[in-house]
Amino acid sequence: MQLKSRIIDSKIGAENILLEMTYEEYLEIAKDILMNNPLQRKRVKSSNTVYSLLKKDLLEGCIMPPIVLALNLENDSDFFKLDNESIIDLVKSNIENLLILDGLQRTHTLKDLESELREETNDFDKFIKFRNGMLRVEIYIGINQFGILYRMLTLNTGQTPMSLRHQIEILYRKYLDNAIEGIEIVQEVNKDTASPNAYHFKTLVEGFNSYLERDPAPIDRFDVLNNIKSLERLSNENTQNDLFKDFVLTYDNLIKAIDNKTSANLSDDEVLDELSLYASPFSKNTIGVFNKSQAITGFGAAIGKLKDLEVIENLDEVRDLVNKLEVAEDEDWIVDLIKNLDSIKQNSKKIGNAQRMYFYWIFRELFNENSDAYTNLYEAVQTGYKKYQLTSE
Amino acid sequence: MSITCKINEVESIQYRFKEFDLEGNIILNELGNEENEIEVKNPLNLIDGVNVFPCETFIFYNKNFSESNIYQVYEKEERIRVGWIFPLQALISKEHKYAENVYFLNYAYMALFNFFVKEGNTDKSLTPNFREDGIYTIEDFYDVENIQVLILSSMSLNKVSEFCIEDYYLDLYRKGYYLKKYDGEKEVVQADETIKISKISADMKSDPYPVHLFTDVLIAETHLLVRFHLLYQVIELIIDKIFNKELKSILVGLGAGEKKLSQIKDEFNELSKENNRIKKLFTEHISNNSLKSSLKDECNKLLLSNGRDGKGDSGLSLYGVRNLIVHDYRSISPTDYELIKEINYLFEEVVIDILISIKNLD
Repeated sequence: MQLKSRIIDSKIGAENILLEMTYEEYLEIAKDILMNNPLQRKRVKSSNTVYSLLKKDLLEGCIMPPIVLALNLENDSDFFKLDNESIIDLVKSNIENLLILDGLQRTHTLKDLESELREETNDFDKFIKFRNGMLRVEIYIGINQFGILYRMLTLNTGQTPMSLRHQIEILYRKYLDNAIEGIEIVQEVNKDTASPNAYHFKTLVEGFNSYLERDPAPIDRFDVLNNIKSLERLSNENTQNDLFKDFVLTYDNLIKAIDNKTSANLSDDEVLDELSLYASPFSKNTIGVFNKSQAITGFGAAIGKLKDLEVIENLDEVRDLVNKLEVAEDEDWIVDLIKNLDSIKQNSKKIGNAQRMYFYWIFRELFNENSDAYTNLYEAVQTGYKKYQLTSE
Repeated sequence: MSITCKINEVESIQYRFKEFDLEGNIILNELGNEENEIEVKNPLNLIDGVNVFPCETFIFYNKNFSESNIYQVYEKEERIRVGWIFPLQALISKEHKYAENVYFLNYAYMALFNFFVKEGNTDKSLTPNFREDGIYTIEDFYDVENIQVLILSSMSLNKVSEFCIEDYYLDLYRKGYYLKKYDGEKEVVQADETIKISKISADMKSDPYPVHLFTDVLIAETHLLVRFHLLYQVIELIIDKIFNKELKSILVGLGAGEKKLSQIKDEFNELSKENNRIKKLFTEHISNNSLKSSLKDECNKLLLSNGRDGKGDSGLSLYGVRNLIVHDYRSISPTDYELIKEINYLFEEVVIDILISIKNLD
């Protein structure tokens, strides 16, 4: 393994190093990367693609474009100062923190080819020749998650399709089963006992995706045009911040504030009977309502849209507004919210999307200073519903 | 049966069902190249130990529905539960209230099985473009904006005497389930948890026109004038049957010497008049008084708006509208077209009601 080049990427605040190594050396690293990243283990099981051609070409000695990796370093910002040998050691000792940004399918192709050649016992030379073939690998070394997401998106545009949501999931997987300032992010959540400080990882990913896409129900498919639009939005964000972390903290802040602003007991059967709901309630507690994907994606899309409209500047501003939320004592806003969600469940063509849209309008009204419902939870629930009905006709 | 994905304008790949994976997703592999697999995502959690059972799936259409239009289906006359009917949307969402109902899930599983194993690509399915990531959704293959799925248990159908789905097309049409894609405004019926389906009257079964009208013609035809005429053809058909039946009765009476010839002549003259036969039809063969009354009101509005007298009898008011439209359509103001539209809507309901409930015509 030899280091051939080092360049700083100022856009994302990371260092890009170029290594030359053999396929054998790369496959040793790649094996561990795939083991440590289950989200990256899934591959296209298809032989009718360019990858079967690639296998053939590799055996004839073709050169692949560089594989691009990212190295997440939590607390080490001094790697810029390391010499070349030390950088290589740093990479070798942090394999568990490597991610493949570009080249996942090519990596699988290399793995498959190596296995096939290993099994062909009558041509050991061919096997050795392949393993000694040379490959270039680029590694972005840096602590900036968001910048790496941006780079991942630009690299993947036009190639093996991966949705933005999938890329977010891969990139921020490190938060799974780790806390963000006391907030737990877990794989599975017991939906009947929603509590503050615990969020489902996939739900947060969906919410963050909605923020980036400005859409409460973004299509989870790769689309070149969509990807380009996402890139434009991403490039306007401050890539120096860990935006995902900011998003989670802001939303958590909001939920806790909202939880303090209702006294209605939705677990009380008498209360529920009076509502005469069509189906079981959206949730039986406030945290449960806002812990769901529909609420967080509605929030993400609304804040993103308000940012585009230059009504708010950033997530910090939302955190400030959360402290100003108000509701009069006799306003049963959460009960009205539950009733509206129930009506949506009974009448809409696509329940999940409709509920997301409703939450989107609630948050747009709540955080828009030009709205009559600005910082007023009760009004936001009412006018949000009207806006939802108008736009869904 | 196979599933097709399109590579380009001339090339495509055929896939065949392989299995449901542990998460309930549908895995298919390429015909002739089993290494090549694709996955169709299934959002519903399949229950453990799914009870596979023989069943039949029928596809209907209506784009005006709610995701919660999920019903158990009963055969009305025999009071037997025969299956479920639901929008295809209910198979790709976990938000409706049946998403964890084990009985619904069992039928949902069988519906997917029928779509991807037995049906494959038919004229009812879509052909998506080949995807590099090999991941597809149910919506890629079937039109989730329109399709309504009726799935019936074969064991239950065996308990219904001489079950034939065509017999129920009229009632299903009435409930908003069409055999073809339809641009109409009518929504799928809103019901509690069950719907009961009724079959066409045995007295009308031998006539192909009524079913053909509702499964083919009316779905394609939107002009209100034409719709009225087409519906009125059913009335003509039935009043002919009434004529024949009454005539036989008169002749029997004559033969038995129960009536005088002059009496017979008077009865025959009365019977020959179309308005009398329509009046007889509406009085003796339609039990839904509220429907009759609504039709009468709308017909009278049109008659009065065009200088004609309103009628106290629903059959006669319909006959009055018929005469207006046949002989004097040119004089009807375009502002009255909405009235004709409303009449057609009620007329359809009345016609279906007659076709299902009419008896003793033979």
